[in-house]
Amino acid sequence: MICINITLNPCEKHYSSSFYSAPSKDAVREVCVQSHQGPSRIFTENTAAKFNISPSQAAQSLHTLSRHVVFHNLTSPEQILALFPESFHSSLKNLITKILLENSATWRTEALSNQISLPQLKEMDWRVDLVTSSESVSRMAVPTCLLQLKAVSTVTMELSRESLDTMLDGLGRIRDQLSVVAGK
Amino acid sequence: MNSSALSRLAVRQTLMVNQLVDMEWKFGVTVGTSEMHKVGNIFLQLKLVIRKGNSTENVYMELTLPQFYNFLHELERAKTSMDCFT
Repeated sequence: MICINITLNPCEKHYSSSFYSAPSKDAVREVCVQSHQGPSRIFTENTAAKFNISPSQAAQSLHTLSRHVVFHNLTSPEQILALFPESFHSSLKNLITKILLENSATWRTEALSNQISLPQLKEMDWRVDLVTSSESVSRMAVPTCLLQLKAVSTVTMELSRESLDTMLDGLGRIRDQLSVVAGK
Repeated sequence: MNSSALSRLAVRQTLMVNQLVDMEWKFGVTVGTSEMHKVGNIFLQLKLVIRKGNSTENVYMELTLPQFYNFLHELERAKTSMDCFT
């Protein structure tokens, strides 16, 4: 197979058109999805073997392209087609564009859930107990709330009725402020 | 001091485990990330101060909007449950 190197427009992406020798559309799709995740030596070596091109070219080009599409949230085919050079093989260009469009929503959602943040709350459980006695009071009926929050670590805490009321006050204020923001 | 005030004081001394003593919060909008140029998601950050023995521990976490509404809903249910014992 002939390997033709094509240099791209201002975005400085480098594509090899020896994707011609890809075994199938699904193979191209798989390459696009895998390269999006990032550089992986095993992946690039397998791809290079499949397509008979240099490993770094294939993975790096696709990776840059798919990241660009996600970063700028390109949603129309025209926007993506414009990134390829004039002389790029047209049906391959259409296929790659189609694959990128199919996957970009998923990739954006993934990027959002992987973004920098404080430990994300994963789970919460609560229990209300009735305290019936202690070493200072032999008989009582005082409710107390146990709250367990799972983020990166799990923390269990106890809240008195006053604490729970205060907390709900605060959360209510957050809710009010959120509806002001949402209303704008 | 009358007896009801005394018993209130005694009740207040009841052992609590990992007592929540304070909560601080802030919320904001994520404008962009290194992966995405324009985002616009609201996030909420909570700091909970928990008493452990003689010292306190700060617990920080972040909630998405749906998580916040669920959190609020669950705590309202806990309060309803507690109110049964008034």
